[in-house]
Amino acid sequence: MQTYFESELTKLRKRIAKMLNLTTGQIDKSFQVLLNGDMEMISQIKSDENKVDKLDIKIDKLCQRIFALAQPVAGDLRFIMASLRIGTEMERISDMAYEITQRSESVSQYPEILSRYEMPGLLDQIRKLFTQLNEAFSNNNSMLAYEIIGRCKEREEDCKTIFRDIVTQMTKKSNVIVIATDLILIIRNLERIIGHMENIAESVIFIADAKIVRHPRLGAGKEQANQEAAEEVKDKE
Amino acid sequence: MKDSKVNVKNLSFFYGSNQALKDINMVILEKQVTAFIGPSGCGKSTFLRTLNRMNDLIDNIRVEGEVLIDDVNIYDKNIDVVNLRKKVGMIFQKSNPFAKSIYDNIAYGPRINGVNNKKKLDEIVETSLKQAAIWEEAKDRLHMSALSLSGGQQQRICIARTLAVNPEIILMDEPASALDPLSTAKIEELIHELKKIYTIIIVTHNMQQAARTSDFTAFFYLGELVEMDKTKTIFTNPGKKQTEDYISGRFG
Repeated sequence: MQTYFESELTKLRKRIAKMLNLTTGQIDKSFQVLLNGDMEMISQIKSDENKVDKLDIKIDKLCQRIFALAQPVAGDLRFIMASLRIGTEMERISDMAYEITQRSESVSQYPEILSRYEMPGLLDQIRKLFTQLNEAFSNNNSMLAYEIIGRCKEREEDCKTIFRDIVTQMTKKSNVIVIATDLILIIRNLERIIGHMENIAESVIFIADAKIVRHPRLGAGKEQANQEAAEEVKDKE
Repeated sequence: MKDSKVNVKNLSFFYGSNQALKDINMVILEKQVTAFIGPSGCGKSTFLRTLNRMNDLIDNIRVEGEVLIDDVNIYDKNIDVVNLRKKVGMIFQKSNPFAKSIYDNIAYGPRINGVNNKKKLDEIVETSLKQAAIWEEAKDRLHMSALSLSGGQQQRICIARTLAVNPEIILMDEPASALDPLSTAKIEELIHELKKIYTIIIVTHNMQQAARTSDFTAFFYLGELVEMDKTKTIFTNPGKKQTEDYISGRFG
């Protein structure tokens, strides 16, 4: 029999998994809108967005309750801290999935333009990354999470390249400006979605390995080492 | 790094044929708080009592290994146990002031050690009560019975009584388990202050108390020392699954 605390943790895990599934589905549908012009999908995406928002609030409340009543430590503490973060990231992804559909109507009528910028391939790779992210979270697989971060960075570069190409086209042909603007906004949203996926993968690493890997530019590891060294000096004093 | 104050080497302890501690090795640092945690019967209180030989009072016990305090093995034959217990004071779960005045409780130890000068005793009483953060509450009723105080105040009187004989190490066996949250907070605050001068070792069943008060935490299970590390490591990323299961309430 599970204790009250364990049943609360199970509930939290299920809610995060449900939210991941919902956002993965939203991404899938929004890509279908973009690639195939399946406009009827938009209402489903909107309805899923409401569900994701509700789950986001439920996760916040559940985490708050666990912190207040159970004083979690170690792996449980990391899981709950990461859940709060993952919930916020997915809520943003959900918003962006909807945003993409709002710019898709004109773009989806020109599949040759999407192909020209190799968008179908990019969208397919983002979809695969979502599947892997689900897997990494479900199995506390930090190795996979590291791989996802690496691939996310590659996809971000792809987005930047496409963005530059579109801008180049816009400077050459004024008649493409309207559609190019929509495409740019879509690319920007995709880039942000990838960024949020990276953050989720970092949270998986935090749960599994107790390592904070975000902001590597700031040398978080170095900072931690410096802090520990300062504490040692303080101890001596 | 702080210097080591207590160095336990291959310590085993037996109640008759029952082995309560199994080959414990541990270094306790000076002027740090070290917490012992573990389920009931795991040996943490027995281990605490080996550090000032309180177990000597029990029949049919046997100790193997060494407990070095300042590099001297306290189980050597020529060790004066009374002096040892002066150096290594102890606070118990239930406050146990003598049925005497507050003043006489604190002055008891120094008097036994030959301090009879009234001015000197007054000084010791005041300093000890101040160090134990009970001076303000006790200064106007020093000659009232210590038993007239609340449980939390009595426990701080016991701490002051221990401090009066000038110890270097203070052992605390669940010092706040019988106290209300406010008195518990005062004891915890006091531990934080006292560690500037004394080496403190505390046994507690309260995980949050161990996390809040200690610099190092040692987890015991079935007479063995499973893991000892910095408290922040034990409570955020312990090395052993058994430790994690215990601190997160999954067993014990």
